[in-house]
Amino acid sequence: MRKVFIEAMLVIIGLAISIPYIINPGPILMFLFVFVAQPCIAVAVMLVLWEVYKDLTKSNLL
Amino acid sequence: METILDILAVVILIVEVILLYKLRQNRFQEKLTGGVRAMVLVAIILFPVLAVMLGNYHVFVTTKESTACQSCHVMAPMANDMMFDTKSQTLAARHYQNGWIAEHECYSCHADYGFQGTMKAKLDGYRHLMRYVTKTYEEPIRYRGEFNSMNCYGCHEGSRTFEAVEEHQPVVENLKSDDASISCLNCHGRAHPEPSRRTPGHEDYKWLSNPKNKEISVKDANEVKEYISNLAVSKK
Amino acid sequence: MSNKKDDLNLSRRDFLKLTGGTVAVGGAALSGWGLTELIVDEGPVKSWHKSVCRYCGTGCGVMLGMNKDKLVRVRGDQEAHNKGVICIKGSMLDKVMKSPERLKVPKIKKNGKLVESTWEEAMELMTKKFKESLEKSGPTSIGFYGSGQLLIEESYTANKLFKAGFKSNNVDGNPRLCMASAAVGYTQTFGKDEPPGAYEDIDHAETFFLIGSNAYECHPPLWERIMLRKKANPNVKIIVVDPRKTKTADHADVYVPVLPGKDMLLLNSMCCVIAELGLLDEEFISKYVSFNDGKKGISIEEYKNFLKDYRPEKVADELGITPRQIREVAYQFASSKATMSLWTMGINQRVQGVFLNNTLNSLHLITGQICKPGATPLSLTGQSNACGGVRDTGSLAHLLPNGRLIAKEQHRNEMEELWKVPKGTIAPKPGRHALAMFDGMVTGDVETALIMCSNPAQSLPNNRYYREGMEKAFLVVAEIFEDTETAKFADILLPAALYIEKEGVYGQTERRYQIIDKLREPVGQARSDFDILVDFANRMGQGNLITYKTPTECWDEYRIISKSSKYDFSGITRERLRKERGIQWPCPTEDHPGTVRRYIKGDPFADKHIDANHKVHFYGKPDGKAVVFARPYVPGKEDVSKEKPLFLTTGRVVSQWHTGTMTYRVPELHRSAGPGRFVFHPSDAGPHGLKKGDRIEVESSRGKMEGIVDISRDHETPGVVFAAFYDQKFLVNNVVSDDHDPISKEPDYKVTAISVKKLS
Repeated sequence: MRKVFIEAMLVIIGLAISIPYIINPGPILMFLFVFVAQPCIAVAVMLVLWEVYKDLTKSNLL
Repeated sequence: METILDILAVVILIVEVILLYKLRQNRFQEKLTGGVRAMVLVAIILFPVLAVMLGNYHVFVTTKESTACQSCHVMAPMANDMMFDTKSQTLAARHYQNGWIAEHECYSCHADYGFQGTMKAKLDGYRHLMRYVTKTYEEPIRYRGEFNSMNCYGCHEGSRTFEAVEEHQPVVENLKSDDASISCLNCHGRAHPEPSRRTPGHEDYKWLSNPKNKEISVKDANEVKEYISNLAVSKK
Repeated sequence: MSNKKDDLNLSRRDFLKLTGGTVAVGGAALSGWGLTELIVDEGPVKSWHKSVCRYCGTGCGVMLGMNKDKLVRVRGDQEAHNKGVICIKGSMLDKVMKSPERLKVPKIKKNGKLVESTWEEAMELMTKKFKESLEKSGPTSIGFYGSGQLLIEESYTANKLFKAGFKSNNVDGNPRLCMASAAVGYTQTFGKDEPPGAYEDIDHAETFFLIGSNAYECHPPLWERIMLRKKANPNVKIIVVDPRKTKTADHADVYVPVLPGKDMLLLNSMCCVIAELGLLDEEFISKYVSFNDGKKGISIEEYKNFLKDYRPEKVADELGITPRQIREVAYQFASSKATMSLWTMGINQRVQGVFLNNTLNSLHLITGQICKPGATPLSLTGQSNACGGVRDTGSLAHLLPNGRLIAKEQHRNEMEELWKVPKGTIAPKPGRHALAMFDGMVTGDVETALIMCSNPAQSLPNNRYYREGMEKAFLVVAEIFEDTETAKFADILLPAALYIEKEGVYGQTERRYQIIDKLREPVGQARSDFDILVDFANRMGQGNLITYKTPTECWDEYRIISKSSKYDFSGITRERLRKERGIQWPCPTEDHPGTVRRYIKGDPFADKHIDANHKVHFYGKPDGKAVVFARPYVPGKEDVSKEKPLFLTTGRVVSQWHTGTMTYRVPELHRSAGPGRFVFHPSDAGPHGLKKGDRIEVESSRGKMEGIVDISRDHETPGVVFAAFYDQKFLVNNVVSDDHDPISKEPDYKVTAISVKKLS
């Protein structure tokens, strides 16, 4: 899990903004969603994908 | 659609809480095993991406709703006038309260035609959002640049009431020329309350700028409703 | 422990990553924002300026969008009385300002041709000619023919210069052709010119009585306001009385198609019905009204007796309507909660113009439909500054500033004192009114004249006759375009500044004064009419009389002069005009908000007379009572006969303004209006064998002219032919009669009997 600690944190931040925004959209949440939540989740996803890529190359699967 | 979004959001929330809790329980594992790996893929990739997509549905689609424009308090004077002031004679109020525009009342007038128009409207919306959250605006707010009268023409062109008024002929000629300078608002008046009424300190400002208005502001609502429906048959 | 350390290491690295990410995202957000701010299409306008429309008497507030010295956009001023509504003509003012055809240099006629000259030469010649006339033939041999479009400062200066400087009362102008009957009507009835009510009354009226007004086409923003009022209140009724079925009449609840020239019968008949039905407001009458037959005071019984000759059954046939229609209209007028009358040239431009105005005012007085919100008589003005510029400054042959009369010695003395000229300077005899001035040119009595901002060679009735005079006299014409009809008769043609090329105050229909600021330099060598007049005064040796050099100084002089009258607008300073959206006089102090309705509480001159028992005070009259005149119908000379079976009536169309000097140059408006033409009802075209596009010859008592035929089933009525006068290639005024009202001297453009002959 340590490997995905940061990713998890980023996802928590992202979702903490996204979920309220989806349920009750408003200008502030929209701003936070676009400029905080979305980048956080994007970074988390990329980090995980990077881990997966590393994992796969290490296992000579790629 | 809104309800589906809400349900999905709650589902995402619940699943994420469970998954992240499970992941926390596995936090001392050095290697990610198959099951945990799947959990990671779902918790960190699949569901967050789903949440982002749902959020972007709001960003790109729900923002066309008038309620979205109204959710910025700075737009309250336009919204209150348009939706709740049954005595208002602004074009926005007359169009809205008579139901002349089926949906996306703000967006319908404020987005130009075609893809370019949509892009322009979105960029404008982005600018408005940034101004609003950073509080870099001043009341009364003003329309920057020029309202495109072709947006009016888009709906009114060819309609019986429009074509019957022969005074429209030189206007259309002007609008279609390279040197267009006229505006439909010139003859048909304000689209929204005039700036002075939207200025803090004006007697009307308090009501206009109140984001919680839901009530009709006049005593005899029926009489006024009747007049507004009469507006629809204003010209032969 | 080691785990924790690992954690920290990890955190530090990721903290850096996070910071980098935040900066990157923040940077993207901000630069994206910056980009959207940069790419906003701001349009061509660099700055917006508050102003007033150049054209009609509605006096719409406009916002002018300037790009450096170019006018690029005209928009309605949402904060002004017109709430952002203007009309199609005003909307295209930018095109007029852009016109390349402007007159740019002074010209002098040499060997029958206008050749370019200099200001020095032109002004010297002008001075020489005026001096010669004054020396040789005296002050009555010179004249000034001004305009309801000159700025207040300009009309005031010309009036002062001619009357107090040259001792010539030959100061008149085109408002004589337009507003004189309304002005005299108000003055006779209330003792003071200018209407008691305001546009604001439109928002409170329940009955609109439009007579001789095609507001839909001629005052579109006011018409829009009337329509909004009607939509806001289903009880609102619109009555339209007009010989033509105008676009205004299209929207009427009750349309009364009276025959041209007969409506005096209708008004008197309405009074008669109102008296018969007991709808007279006895209390209002007993407190605030007196009766008069034009020579002496009469009793209400005598007035009622006078009305008996006008019972609907007696007059309906001659009016071309039914007695029931008269009764319906009279009842609606008197019984409505608030009735507002609106009229324009259909009433003013008539041989009985003053009587019609008197009687319209009387209708309001006998029914108490006055001095309360929504109830008022309101004459709509044709020109942008006929009220403020000409009526209020007294720039007519019989007037002095602020409602004073030349014929009254006391008034002359007051003005001599205010103008600081010796007693007896102002000649006691009124000067020549518009028609008389040009008639004087024909007879040779008027030798030299200055014409500013007007186009009499196209606008005067019986046009050919007066053109002879223009040919004979030495005319100095200040013009904006070289190709106007009047410019052709100029011996000296001076290029005048137009609209925002100069600064000054406009005053319109409802006593509202508004300022036009100078936003660009005049084209070429053009000068403002004000500068021309000041220069002329100096050259004529009147530098001691016209001491001011700028419009602002002039305004301050005039403003202070107004203090000693019931027009008192001394509180309307230049600064206030720039800040506020027009102010309605009386306005005696700088903190006074202006007066929306006169003669009631809030009017500074009525206030001290108002108490629980007296709600109204007509302070223009010594006894505080307005006068209801018993005015008989006197048939005009122009009437249909076997030889001349049709009525010709003239007017405006929505896309053109007056003689078309400005609006006919705008391509869109030009095409919209089309060429000048005679418009027939099909029932008249048929018997004459006329089709659309046919060439015809029209003959009246004043002469013949040719023109093309148009046919309108919707807007014309049987027996009436309509022609607009905007097209200089179609001078309909050649055949229009110059019969005029004996009191106001305003010509009757609305009633001319004609015969029609088809040309092969």
